[in-house]
Amino acid sequence: MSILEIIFSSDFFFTSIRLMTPILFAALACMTFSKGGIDPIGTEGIMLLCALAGPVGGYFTGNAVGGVLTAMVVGVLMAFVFGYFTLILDTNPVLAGIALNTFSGGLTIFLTYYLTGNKGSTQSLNSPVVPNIDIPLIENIPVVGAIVSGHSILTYVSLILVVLLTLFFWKTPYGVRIRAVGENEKSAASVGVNIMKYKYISLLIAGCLAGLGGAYMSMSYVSMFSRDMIAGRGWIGMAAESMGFGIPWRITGSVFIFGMADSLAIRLQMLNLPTQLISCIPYVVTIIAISIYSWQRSKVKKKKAE
Amino acid sequence: MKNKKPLSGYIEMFRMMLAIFISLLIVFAIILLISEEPLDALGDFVFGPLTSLRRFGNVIEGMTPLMFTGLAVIILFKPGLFNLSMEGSFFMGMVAACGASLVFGLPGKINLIAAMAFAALVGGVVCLIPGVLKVKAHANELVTSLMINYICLYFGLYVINEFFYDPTQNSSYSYKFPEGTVLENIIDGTRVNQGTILAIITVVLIWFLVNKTSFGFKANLVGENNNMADYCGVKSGKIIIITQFVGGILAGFGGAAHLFGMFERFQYSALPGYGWDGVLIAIVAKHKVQYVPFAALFLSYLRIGADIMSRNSNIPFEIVNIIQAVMVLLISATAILSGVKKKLIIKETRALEAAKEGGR
Repeated sequence: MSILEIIFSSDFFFTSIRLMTPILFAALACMTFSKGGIDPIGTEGIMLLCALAGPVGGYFTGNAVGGVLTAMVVGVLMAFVFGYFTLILDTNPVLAGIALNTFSGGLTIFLTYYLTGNKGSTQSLNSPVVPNIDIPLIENIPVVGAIVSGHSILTYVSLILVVLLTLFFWKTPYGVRIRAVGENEKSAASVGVNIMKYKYISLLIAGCLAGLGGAYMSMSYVSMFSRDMIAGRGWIGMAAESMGFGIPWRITGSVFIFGMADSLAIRLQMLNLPTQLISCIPYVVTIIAISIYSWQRSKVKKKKAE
Repeated sequence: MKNKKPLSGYIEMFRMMLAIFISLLIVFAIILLISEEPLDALGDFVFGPLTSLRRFGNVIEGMTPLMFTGLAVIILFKPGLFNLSMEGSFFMGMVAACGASLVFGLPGKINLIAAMAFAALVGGVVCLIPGVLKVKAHANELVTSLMINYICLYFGLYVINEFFYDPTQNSSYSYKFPEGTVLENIIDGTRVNQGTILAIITVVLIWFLVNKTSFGFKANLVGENNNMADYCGVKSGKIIIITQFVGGILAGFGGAAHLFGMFERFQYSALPGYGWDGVLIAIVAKHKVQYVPFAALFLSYLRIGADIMSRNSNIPFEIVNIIQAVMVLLISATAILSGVKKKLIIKETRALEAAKEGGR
């Protein structure tokens, strides 16, 4: 198999979409945080705890919907904790983000051990999963059907959310006010916008999105929680958010690049290349992408200044 | 000023005490809730490290990597950057030290010194990358450094597995280090080794660098006000790059000191987390180099206590992560008690004014 054959197959693009879903949720969560003027750095830690909350909630309620809802509730709670510390108690957001990540890392292992007796995964819970669905009509189209159809419900939810969030932030008063608060708090306050209210709304939405991302990892991508399973996707979401200039369709585009990098890494393992080196690819791509983006952006800024 | 330090000056310290107290309280509550023998567990946690020389030795030897990463974080954050690649740097330091010790094949202690120097260099380069990308391309150092941590993990494991893997051992265990390439024990009955001495010497050196050299002064200036530094003729970009390199050297060297002091072969398969601990060390030490050993002692004591507790009860060791996270959150929550501080300052100022009026 040549590399070209590997890349230009419908399977490659199918996997890319599958792998971009958690990053897309992360990036949308980061976008919502940023729109409300809140540092998105807590996303990784929030997603990790939600990834555990999903299967556990599913196990106790007995169905996947219960699991996803639990993950979303936990996501919102964690987002509020992050918001409380950074907005009210004046904690440095970066330190709060690191703390949240450490906290989730410890608490998830702690709870996994407490619930299942081992520290590695929740396999023994046999928690429910979110089903994959075939889209009628589209599934019969050659090539396109094989790429677009047959994904997890959550994947389609993420794509629908891209549209909904675009409408929300640009076409509804609530969304526009959140953006106003994020862009310039003082001027928003001067026209009578209740700043804290809109910050809390953005925390609420971002928490739900991070919850969905976490739930996708442990209820759809695989069927259980395993330790540290988010593996930097929250941070990559942050990179994708800034590369997409905070505009949903552009963010989706950059997320797709990361999805392809991930997918390529998986495919290359078939070529007998060393696994560990290939595992680096998504992270290397992220560094290169964010560097090029930032470099160009600073050049544009300089030109404007002149 | 012969006056006593005003009460408001102690608020910072009091807040840290309060933060530590609250986080310990949370942990005690968790232990009481889920442990079958909560008092035994608590006893192990609080007093366990003091019950034998070996255990207290564990506390001392556990301080070594924490001191190095704590120093690394202080230096890396100095110019106002949040470069978090000390975790990857520490890991690559261990990998490089292992590889170099096996490849160089120099006699005795020279091999040790060469391997540690190489580890420091590699660690420095790792932390340098986010710094250079920040200065040259304005790339967010947070994102790039976090990505670099993952790259270090996978690349490091690749190097170990591909070139130094000992087939008689578990996966990602390297060959034994050559004889003599070891930091020797200094206290019998424990594993306390020369690494601890190296760490203390490094603390002194870094204290000197930060407080007594023009470089330390410039780095501070860049951290406080980048533009002002540039205006004063300090090249902030250059200072940033040098600090990141020095921070990386500390982390990488720390990795080597940890590896040669505690192990006879490389045997990690995941990031050890000492870099993240460094953030807590830096915060507890209030970013002051001279407090790093005390912060490291404190955290190491907590960890050994939790380790002893986890062996004798059903409380997993990871409870330490929860304590650490709560501490970071609360200690850095500057708004806690800030109202009290303001009130105290107002009160003290009024008292001073009243005293002046009275004196007139």
